[in-house]
Amino acid sequence: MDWHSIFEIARGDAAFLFPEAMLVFFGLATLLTDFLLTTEQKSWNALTAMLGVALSGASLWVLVRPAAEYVTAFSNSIVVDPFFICFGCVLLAATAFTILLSVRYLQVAGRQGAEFYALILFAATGMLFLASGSDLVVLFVALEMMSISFYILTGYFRSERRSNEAAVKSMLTGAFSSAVLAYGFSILYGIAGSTNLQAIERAVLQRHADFPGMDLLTFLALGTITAGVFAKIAAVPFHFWAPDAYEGAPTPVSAYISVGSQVAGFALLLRLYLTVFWPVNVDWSALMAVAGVLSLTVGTFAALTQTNLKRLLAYSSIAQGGYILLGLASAVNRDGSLHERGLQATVFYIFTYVFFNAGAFAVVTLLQRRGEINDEIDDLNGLARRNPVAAVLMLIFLMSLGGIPPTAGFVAKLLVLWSLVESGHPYLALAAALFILPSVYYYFRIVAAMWVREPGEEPATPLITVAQKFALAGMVAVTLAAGIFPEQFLHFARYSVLGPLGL
Amino acid sequence: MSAILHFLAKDWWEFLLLALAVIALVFFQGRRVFRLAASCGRVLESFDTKVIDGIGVDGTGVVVRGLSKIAARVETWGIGGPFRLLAGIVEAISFPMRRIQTGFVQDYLLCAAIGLVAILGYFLHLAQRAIH
Amino acid sequence: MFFFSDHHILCTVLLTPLFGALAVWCVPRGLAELQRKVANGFALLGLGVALPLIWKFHADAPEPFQFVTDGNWIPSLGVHFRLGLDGISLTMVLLTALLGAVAILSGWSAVREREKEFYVWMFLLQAGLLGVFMSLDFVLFFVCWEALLVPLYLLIAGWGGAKRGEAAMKFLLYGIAGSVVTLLAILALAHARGTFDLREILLHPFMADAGKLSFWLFWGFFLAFAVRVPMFPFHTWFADALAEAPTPAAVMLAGALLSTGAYGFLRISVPMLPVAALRYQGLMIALSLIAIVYAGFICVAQKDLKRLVAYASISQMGFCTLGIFTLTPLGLYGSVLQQVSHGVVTAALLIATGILSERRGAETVSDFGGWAKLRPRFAAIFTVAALAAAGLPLLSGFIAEFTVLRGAYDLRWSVAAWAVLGIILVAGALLLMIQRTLFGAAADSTAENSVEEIAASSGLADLNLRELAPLGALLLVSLWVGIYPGPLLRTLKRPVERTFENAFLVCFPKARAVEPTRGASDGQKMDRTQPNSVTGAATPSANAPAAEKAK
Repeated sequence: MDWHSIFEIARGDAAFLFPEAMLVFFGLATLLTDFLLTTEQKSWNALTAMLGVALSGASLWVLVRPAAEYVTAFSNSIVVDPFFICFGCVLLAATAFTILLSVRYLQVAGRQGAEFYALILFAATGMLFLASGSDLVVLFVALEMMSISFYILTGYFRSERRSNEAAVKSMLTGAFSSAVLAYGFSILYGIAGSTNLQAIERAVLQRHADFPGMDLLTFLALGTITAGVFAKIAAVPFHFWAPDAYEGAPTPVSAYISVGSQVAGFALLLRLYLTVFWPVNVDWSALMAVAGVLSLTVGTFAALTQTNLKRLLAYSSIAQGGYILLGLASAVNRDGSLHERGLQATVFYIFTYVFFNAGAFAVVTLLQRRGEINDEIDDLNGLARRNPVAAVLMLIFLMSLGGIPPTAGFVAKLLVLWSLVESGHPYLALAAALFILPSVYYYFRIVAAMWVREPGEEPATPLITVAQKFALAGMVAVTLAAGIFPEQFLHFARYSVLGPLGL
Repeated sequence: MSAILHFLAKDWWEFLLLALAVIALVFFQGRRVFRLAASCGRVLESFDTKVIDGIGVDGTGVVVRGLSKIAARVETWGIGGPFRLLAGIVEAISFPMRRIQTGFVQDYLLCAAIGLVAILGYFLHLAQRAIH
Repeated sequence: MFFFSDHHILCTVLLTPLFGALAVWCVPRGLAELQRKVANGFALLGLGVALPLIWKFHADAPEPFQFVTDGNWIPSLGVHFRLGLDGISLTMVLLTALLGAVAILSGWSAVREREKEFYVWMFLLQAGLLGVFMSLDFVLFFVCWEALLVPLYLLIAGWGGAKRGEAAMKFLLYGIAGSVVTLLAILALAHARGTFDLREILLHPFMADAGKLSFWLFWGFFLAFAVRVPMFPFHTWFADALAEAPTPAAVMLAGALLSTGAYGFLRISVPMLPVAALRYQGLMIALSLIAIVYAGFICVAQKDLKRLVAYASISQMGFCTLGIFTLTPLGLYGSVLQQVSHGVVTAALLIATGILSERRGAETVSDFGGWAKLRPRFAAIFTVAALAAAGLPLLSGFIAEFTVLRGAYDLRWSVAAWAVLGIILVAGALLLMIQRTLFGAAADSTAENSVEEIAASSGLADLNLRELAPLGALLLVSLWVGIYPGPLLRTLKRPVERTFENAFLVCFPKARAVEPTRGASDGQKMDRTQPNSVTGAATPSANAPAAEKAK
């Protein structure tokens, strides 16, 4: 029986839940089959989890055709549209990379648990629902599902102080932001009398017609929801949890949080801003611009003097988030109309960012040895001599983060700068361009460690397992392909946002 | 300078006459001319070694060497200076950025609360502007 | 032949180094000798496939760019993979191909660790440089312009001298600082004109009606080009980078990378933004003169061989920018000649100093001496190279500097006078260097030992054929340019005239009406079937105004 026919059997609304259902099912399966495995076989849990991701991806593939018609299911509480398909693909890719990277990491650390993989799948479920949810309750539960999984994954190494501290910190700040977000959601419910986004959109539109430009309740909801989502995407000044969490978490989890949390957060932000809040026609692009420039400033300058790789990459992802926010700011023209290229640039940036940012973390993962995480810049010393392939991979990811061609990061930055120029924000473009310079400095401090410095007493060659090879190959392939032949990726980005949101 | 060039360009035939006269003089009164020239040459030679070489060439050499040393100094400190200053400023900004990351959750939450108030303030400001 | 047809030859030239990188990468680790052979083979092949350009190029062809290759690269952004050559870029491409081959050949004995990666980065660097000179699309131009920074950074950082880390970082940051602003300028230009096509904008440059935009664009591009040339206040990275770089990378850096900056001025700043170029002409000339004289002075004070060559080369590149911003045909000719001359001669000097330091293990002038007696072949080559750099007639440096000076003299005699001071200083410094390294007491021998004994015992042999061949080739090019620059000048004639016309039109906008009929086929200027769009020297073409009227 082939996959299509299974899909046909599950007719009705359940079919549209397949991607998420697969993840949950295999997450639970991992927990159960774990009892059947001996200690040596524990790494097979990763296989189960990968199977879940693969099947989820297959169901996404099957949903491509219905998605073109913008289907809703479960009394309009989830939407299956290109937006969901594209974000789902990228999120699943990030999940797969994380699982592939985790196998050896956990093996070396000596804690190959099923719950780790199950939690990763549960977090992925939350992310997919964030991309597909069309109901406040679904969105909130999805957000919590993702966040709570992340808290536990952050503190996965119970015996380690750094890991514990990171988990508690991110949980406390996360609880704050969830509370703020829930407050905003409750106001929206109060406005519309319904938790459904389409109903809310209509109500907001009605109120906008009644009180043009001065609807305080909507503004209050807008402000609190923005603040809540900003905390998830680690935008300044809600970013403080990120460096501590990334540093303390197991490295694959840092990679997962840095890309997953940001992508899912941006999915929520885009969904809400481009549907519910679009009719409000308030100047939110200024807010995005300010938050973007602040994130760039703080992220860039704080990263300059870091010596810990994970911390440096944490600040760098705050700065990268700043670029994405600037892209979002450029999605609105001066006259308030939509600027398509800005939206395309934002989504392109988000999608490619997943691959090269996770890639940089992946190379850090390679450095880990028994009893040592090895996440200082000095641990990379002489990597070009010890393992040239790893060094070149890191170079490509760092070039992409710094926006140097021919990588995806260059095209992404080019698009953002261009749409800033075209939408009438030349000074923002200048600021965004100037921040590339210090960012190249701190990225190339890492490169200098790999090429200039002598290896010292580091081991001859860090091993790369087959799983890690697959993950790294995928990441570097997308990073280079989107940099050299970006056309298809641009279509993908455009397809994801411009069809479904009725724009 | 340009006067000489002008002379050479325009009045070349006068120059030619002069040259022919000199050649004739040498041809007919060779010995005397040579003696005169030799004594002139001795004077000029001492001028050459003492003044032109001593002050002119060696002096120029000293001046050039001095100037080039100054230029090399300027190169290391003057031209590089502003860029070092820039690097210093960047470092100076970078330091407080690290300092605000205190490690205490209460501080993080305080900053987040300030951020929330700022965002709400922005929207309230927009609403107020729309009302007026 | 397919690979050498008009539409494919540029791709062939551009891709050969990339295939070279691939081929070297495929050779297994540990087979250093094979890697070296493959690399040298591809380096020579890279030069070989560029040579047909010489006889395929028509200096008098009516269309501004030949061998145009046009592929749709990123259709949704309007970005094309568009290559083409005119006389100036042809010269630069040939120079780069020659230097690429010579540089890799010179690395035979200089590079003794991780040869594989070294050659891969060298090939990528060469491909990037070729891309800069060939591209007719702003995005492609920028991609090559910025991407080549990384291979060169790695070459300096991985195989450089003691202070390689700082030097490489400085080089990279200066390069990126110039690039980011240029990226904005490119985007603003594309926003104003709606195209990334260089040809379009060369046809319709930003005239007075563009207002302030052309000045902003000028400064945006200026930063990148000035860093690359390097012009006066932006030159500090260069001496460090050159002093630390391994010889093959230094050859590419000084010979070809600096030319990209001057090429940028020639291709973009002057012909596309003539109003701004005219307005800032005085400032640019002043900066060039400062570079010439100031670097000359520093040159005299230098004790380190490579730094001496570096400052000599800053001074010589000053002549390039001086020539360009005289905005006279002679200055433009001289500028390109100087780029060729500087590239060839500096490469020879750098290879020679590389050999000196490789054999002697030292880089300070005072560590050498008496080499002429022991190594006559080396001494002859080194002397000729230094004399060429010093501007001896019959060698390329003279004809190039003379042409630039002639152009500058037309503008103002004092400009030429100041520039001459720079020549004297550099010549003095180079001659002193020759005197101290080649003549005088031998620093590495007692006078009693016979030449053969020293050569045999210390391994300080004279040049062998492998070292002699590239140096000889470079000096032959220099000699050829110095004695018979005619073919080169003929190649440059049309692009120089076009560039001059654009600047000329700014001064005499009425001059457009003088020749109303001769070039009416605007818009189809690329079309080979339209030979009557030829315009003469200094007689402004009617193409630009006609198109503007059409708008």
